[in-house]
Amino acid sequence: MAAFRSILFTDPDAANDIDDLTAPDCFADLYLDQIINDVVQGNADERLDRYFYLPLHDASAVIYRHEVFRDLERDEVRAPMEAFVVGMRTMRQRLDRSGRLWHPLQRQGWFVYAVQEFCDTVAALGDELGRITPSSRGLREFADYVASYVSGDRFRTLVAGIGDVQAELRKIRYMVHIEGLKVHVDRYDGQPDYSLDIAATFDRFASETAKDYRVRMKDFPDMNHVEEQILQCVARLYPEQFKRLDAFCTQHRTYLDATISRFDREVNFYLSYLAFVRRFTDAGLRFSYPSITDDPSSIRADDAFDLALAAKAAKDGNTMVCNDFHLTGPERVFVITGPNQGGKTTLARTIGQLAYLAALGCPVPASQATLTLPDDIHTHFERQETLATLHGKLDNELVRIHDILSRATPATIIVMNESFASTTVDDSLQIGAEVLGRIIALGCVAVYVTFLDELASLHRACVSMVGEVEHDDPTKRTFKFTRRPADGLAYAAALADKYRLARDALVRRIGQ
Amino acid sequence: MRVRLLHPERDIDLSPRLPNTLIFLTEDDLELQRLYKAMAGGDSFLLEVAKKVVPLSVADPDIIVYRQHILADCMANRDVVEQMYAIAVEGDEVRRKVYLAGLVFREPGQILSGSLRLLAPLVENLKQLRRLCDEHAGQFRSAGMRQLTAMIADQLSDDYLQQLADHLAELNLPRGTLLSAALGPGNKGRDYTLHVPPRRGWWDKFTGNHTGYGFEIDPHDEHGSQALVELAGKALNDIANTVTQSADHVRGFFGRLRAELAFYLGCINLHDTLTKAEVPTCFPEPTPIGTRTFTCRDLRDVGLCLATDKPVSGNAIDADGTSLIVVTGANEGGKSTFLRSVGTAQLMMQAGMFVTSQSLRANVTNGVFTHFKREEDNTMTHGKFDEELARISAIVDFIGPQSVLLCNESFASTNEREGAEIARGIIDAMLECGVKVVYVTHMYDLAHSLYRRDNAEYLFLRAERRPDGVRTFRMKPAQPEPTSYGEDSFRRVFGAPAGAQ
Repeated sequence: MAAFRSILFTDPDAANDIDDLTAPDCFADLYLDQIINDVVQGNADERLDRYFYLPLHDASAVIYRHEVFRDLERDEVRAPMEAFVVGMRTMRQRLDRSGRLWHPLQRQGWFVYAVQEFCDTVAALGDELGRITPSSRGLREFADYVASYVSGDRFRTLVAGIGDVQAELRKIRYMVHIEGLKVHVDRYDGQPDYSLDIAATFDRFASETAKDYRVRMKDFPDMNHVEEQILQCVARLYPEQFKRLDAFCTQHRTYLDATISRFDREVNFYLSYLAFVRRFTDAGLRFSYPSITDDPSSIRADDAFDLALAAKAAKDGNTMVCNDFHLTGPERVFVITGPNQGGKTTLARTIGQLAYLAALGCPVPASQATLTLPDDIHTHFERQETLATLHGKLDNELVRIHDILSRATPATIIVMNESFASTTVDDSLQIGAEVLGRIIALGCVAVYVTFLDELASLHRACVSMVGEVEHDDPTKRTFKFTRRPADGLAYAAALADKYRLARDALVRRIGQ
Repeated sequence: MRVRLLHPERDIDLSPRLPNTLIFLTEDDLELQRLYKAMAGGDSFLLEVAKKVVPLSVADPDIIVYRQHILADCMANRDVVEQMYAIAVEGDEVRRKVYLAGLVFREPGQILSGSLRLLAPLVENLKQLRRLCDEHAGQFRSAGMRQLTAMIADQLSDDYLQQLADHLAELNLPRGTLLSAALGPGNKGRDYTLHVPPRRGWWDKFTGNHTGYGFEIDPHDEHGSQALVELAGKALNDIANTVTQSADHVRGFFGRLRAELAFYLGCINLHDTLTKAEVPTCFPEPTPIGTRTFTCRDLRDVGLCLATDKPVSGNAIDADGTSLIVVTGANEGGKSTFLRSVGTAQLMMQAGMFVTSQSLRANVTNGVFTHFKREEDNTMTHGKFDEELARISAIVDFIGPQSVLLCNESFASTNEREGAEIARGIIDAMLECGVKVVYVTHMYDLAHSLYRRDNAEYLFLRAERRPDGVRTFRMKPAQPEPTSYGEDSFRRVFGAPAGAQ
């Protein structure tokens, strides 16, 4: 029971080197960098993105996260977690300040202020967790942990201590008399507030529409040396109170509980992703928890969309086009063709994103999905030529695909976008067929975006996905993809219709 | 502290209620500049006030009478009012006396001391005002002046003025700044409150008889002394605000007093000029809105009276119960002058002024709007007729029920039939909405068609022309005639009748 250690990992040691992780190679090509940037944006933890760099390879670990996600989708579960996270952030800010300040009395002041927030936050969390009933294993175990922590001696001593120290400090009020360069500090002895007198006297000169002449005071958390000297005088005026403050700080230097602290950091993974998802569900787009399978031939997704594009569309107020895709029987390779600017790359990215997000244990941008957990996702997108490699563009591409193929396994997913286009059509076709042959032989799942219709019918492992255009205006892309042979005919027919050049129309016009 | 000489209960907003273009049009059509100049008597401040106050028509007869009584009072006690005005000017221009330039208002302490320097002379002005009122309050008869003097006596009692002086002395912080504070986050001070430092006797000072701890900032430590200023500022912030707002208020009071008295002084200037020219004046009798009253004797156009040394003839009109007045008749017969005299008298009455007439009894309106034939269109965006329509449309945007619309040869820039048709439509719409219309026209088609309606609420006036062609410049009730005697003009210019050749 008290074995709870991580809300993200069933194996708590899986994240031992989390802070050293860098983004996987496929991130930029799949626009996952933009997506994760959006997800973690505004989060106080600068390294939250690291958790998105660590895909899972075990279905049970994915399900552990799905359960937590489902729990946190319920407002009554999420609200206390969000409050907890906010409280812990405040605590960390104060602690941070305490660490950065120079004057010991100030450091102690901020330390106590931080501990205060910790106590309040954890106590509130304990109360809330007692009220709700999480169904996920992760949150149930965490609730048990918090319950035992809150009722434990360590926490209770902390709460009692903080209450006493704060109450005593709050009671202190002191006088400062500034006369020229002389400063005198003394205990406050009930002197009346002079501003009340002034307000009463000048009341008859008051008007409702008066301008506000109050100066906005800069309020630095730090003190200048005058304030420090005054504080020292105050400490001498109230020695007992400050002695107790010092004792408290020494006694509770290591008050922060490691498990609660880790939970605070990790739960942000869920909260930030859910907050991100809500931006799209509010706009009518659907997310779902994918079923995890080992069988590539049951891969499918309905109403899938590119999350990076959706984020941009939401900003610009555009609506998103969703697409379905699936594999059956021997099919392993999606060959995507269609008009330029018709959404081919977007669909390829969508498939890659879904695979990656599924491996993070996150809900994916599709109304329904069945996906595998790839051991790796490789992308082969056009790169800018660099002098450093001393190769031509085509050579570079070939070097890269060779590298990918030598590392790929049957559990890998390869996404290729307009590969080998920087040569003649014949060459391009030949190389493409060659590479596709190897991928098919390997048996891994791949996405191949190309302008070469021939590749779509290369092998029975290939499934052809064709980008469609508006029937009555072929210049308008629908960004919809359908499974059908790549013949390019629909586009031609539609163009003909538009200019009244369709066969029947031509016959009539010529016959006139 | 309130002045309340323009309205018994509140400070009326002196900013224009209509767009400037409409105000300028009315000013131009009615030639109000002459009126304003006479009121100003060479003083630019008086000119500005007259320009602001006169067009802000008051629609409540009680307030009009309230102002009339104040004006009469001011005329009777001119010396006192002029002295009061002089004090108000001093208070209003206090900033010219107190040199504040170079003071940076970033610290509450600086803001406070700047305001104290303004308040010192302002309090002197308040005392002067109080003294003046003490001496002369009994002479005033009008509710407005009595209210003002009573307010001054009440708000500025000797006790209060003494209390004020004491506080101003204390606010100069002669014994330093005494403040208290509590410990906030990080043991930094918060909840700063200002207190009055105790007056210590020489014995205490001598023995240093007090508790607590202290320190002294090194005279070379600029940061330290700056920090002291900031610390004091935290306790002084609210008080500096209160005192500065009060200085604003007192200065605002004098500014308001100055402006409102300036209006009455302007009226007195005008009265002087008119009296010298032997033009009759009277306080008109305003009747409530919607009562359709307009009766006058010897109503003269104030603009013309001010423009010429020659005697100006007046008109006697009985137009009670009338919603539409159509004025026709001879060219150069005084139609436009009459129309202006009606508009100006209406405006002056609704400002609470006297009018140039033996008597006038008229209902108040929701505003005077003018649509006069204009010589040229210098905007180049419209043709002449277009321009007229655009102008009436701009008026329609703002005119409300129970206003008055003065039309002078409107819609005559197209052919008569079309113009008449348009004019009838507009007139009918206006009347339906309860707008009183006075329409000067030579369009016989229009005037005649309206006459044939035989409506008891319509009044038809004609500029009088004696059979010998001489104009009396008097408007007489008469049905429209098919000619405007343009032939007379022709003869006057050419020296021979038209077609004589």
